[in-house]
Amino acid sequence: MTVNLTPDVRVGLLGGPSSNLFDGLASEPVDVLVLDTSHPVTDPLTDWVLKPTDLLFARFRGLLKSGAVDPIVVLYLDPAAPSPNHDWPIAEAAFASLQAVVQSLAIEHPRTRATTVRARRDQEEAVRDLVAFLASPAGGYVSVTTIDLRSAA
Amino acid sequence: MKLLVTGGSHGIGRAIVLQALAAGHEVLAHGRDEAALAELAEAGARTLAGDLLNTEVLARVGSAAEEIGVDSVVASQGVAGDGALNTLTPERIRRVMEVNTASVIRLYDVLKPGLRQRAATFVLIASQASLRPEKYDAAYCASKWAVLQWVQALAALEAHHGVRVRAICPGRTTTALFDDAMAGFAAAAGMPLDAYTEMILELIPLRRFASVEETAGATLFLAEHGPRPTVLAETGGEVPYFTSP
Repeated sequence: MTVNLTPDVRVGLLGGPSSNLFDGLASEPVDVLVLDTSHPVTDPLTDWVLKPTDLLFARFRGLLKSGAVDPIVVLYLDPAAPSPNHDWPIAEAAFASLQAVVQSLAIEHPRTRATTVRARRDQEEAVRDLVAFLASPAGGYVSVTTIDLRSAA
Repeated sequence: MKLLVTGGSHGIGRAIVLQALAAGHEVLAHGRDEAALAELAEAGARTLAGDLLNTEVLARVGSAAEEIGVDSVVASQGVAGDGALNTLTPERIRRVMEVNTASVIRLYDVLKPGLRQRAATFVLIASQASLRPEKYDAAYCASKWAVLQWVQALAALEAHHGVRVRAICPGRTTTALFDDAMAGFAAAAGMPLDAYTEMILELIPLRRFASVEETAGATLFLAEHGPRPTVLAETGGEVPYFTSP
């Protein structure tokens, strides 16, 4: 897992492998932080909950210190298909932790637009469209909310 | 019941130990404060001291629980996590997550075989901070949201094995941890503590904080065998709780 903590990089990894999904996201005027749980890990408590929470706080701190005004999107990716080996309780804990950080820090820091998005790993088009919407003027009043694309049709 | 209470030295955990003993239950009280545990031992509890972040202590808790035949657990360990973002060090954030979230999950993993064998109950003390975002409380919220969602997901899975996993989300309960957190919130808000307290009471429909005995009693209600909700919000109305279809 590689993470770039410099504020000017538009896509940062909180956990999981890099992907060309992010290429499309990086061109939008929005900061996207991604936790991808679609690949198995040996220690989901550490790799999905503890480390990404640490990194998310660090990224927020960096973005806020840089005076970033672009919206922040925290993107949580589930596996494309249900798997019996996926630790669902810990996955839910991971998602909840990210949501809590995003929402709590957004209300603590006025005028910070921050949103959590949840999607399956194979929903690339839906993710790109949503991120573009959140980066656009039409998405300007969307903040402190979670958007779940898994049931999007 | 044969009840294990982790984080039982002080606060809500201690009150649970004492109420459970008074009700005639057998209690194994875990905590970090040996002097406080000694008082609980005098009241009739078996005790075990140590830090749950230490894997050897975790193993000893597991062994002791198995030896007694624990059929109900209350995980009451927790640390405050209040503070504005610019005051939260990475070390503190990690500690809050380790104690409030990871140690509960690891505790369950250690106890799981015995809990399944005895169709036990496992109750986590979450928080009203599990139910909403809070400014100046992001680290604590992260830890409590995580552990509440873990309970809700786990409850569905473990029900097949006969284990009932539940969570109570207490509101503002008068304990030392609460007093410290209120002082921290007041400081972060730049207000004197008494003015901050008055402001907070206005947000609570019941216009008071919970007593530790009330929260302990509500927790023991969830810990009992018999049909109980998976999540019980005990917030005095400050944080409404509802479920979506």
